[in-house]
Amino acid sequence: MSGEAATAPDGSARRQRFEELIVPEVEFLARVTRSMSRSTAEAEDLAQDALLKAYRALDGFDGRHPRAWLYRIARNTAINRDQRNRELLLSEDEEIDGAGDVMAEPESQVVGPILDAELQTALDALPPAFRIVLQLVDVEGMRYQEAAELLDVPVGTIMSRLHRARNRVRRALAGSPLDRSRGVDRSTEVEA
Amino acid sequence: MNGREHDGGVAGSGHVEPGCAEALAKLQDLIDGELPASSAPRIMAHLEACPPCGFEREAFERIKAAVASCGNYVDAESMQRLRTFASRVAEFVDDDPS
Repeated sequence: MSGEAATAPDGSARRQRFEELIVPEVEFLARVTRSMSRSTAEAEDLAQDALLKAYRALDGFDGRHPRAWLYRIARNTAINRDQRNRELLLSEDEEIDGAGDVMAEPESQVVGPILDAELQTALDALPPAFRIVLQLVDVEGMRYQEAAELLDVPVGTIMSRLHRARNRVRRALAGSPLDRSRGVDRSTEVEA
Repeated sequence: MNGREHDGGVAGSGHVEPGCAEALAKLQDLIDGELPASSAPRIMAHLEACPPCGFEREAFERIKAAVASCGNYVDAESMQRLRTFASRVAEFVDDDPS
């Protein structure tokens, strides 16, 4: 009991810091881990792992920018779990899975009312490095600069990945019944 | 320029309307609110005047809005489990004898 008494104050302080700094970011964590994962179950497991690591590392955290700190823990956890994530999440190479990047012909691919399921499928098909940029900019509302700092990549990389990700989503949805094309000849669409 | 050319010019020639290239190049910045104020009026004016470019803007704005809506969704049960887990993380770690 004496050992417990000696560590109790530290444990209590850590719990309080966790409540104050990390718990408010749980929803954010849920969203970004989903963008790093291929399923809800995988995302949940990743988020729980990240929370455990965050709690263990909390004593060494200066308390500034908890959202960014938690994001980095989640990203590193995802990378350590899967070598493919390492390649995709860390890469600054603009040729990530570049074979899929084809500019849409104007008016040939227009997304109509989008069903969430179809869109989720399209998002899941994106490389994680693209998906996370969409998540940070379109969902979390970050500025390019903020996203660049969080991901440790140049702003130009954010812009490029964002544009390419949206083009891929657009193309993925173009063939669906929800596509609202205007009868343009699709024979001009080239798939690399 | 291939893929950024409109059919709105000389049919089959790949003609690009003046301003289209710049408008399309800056379209993503525009819809993300990242376009500098100095160039925004010029780009906006072109998008208003050029139907193909305006169509492009509409398409990407729709995608952005849909992604925002979809990406903001977290399964409610999953979220609840995560909240519960977060509330008990201290127990899991502090009570772990290892």
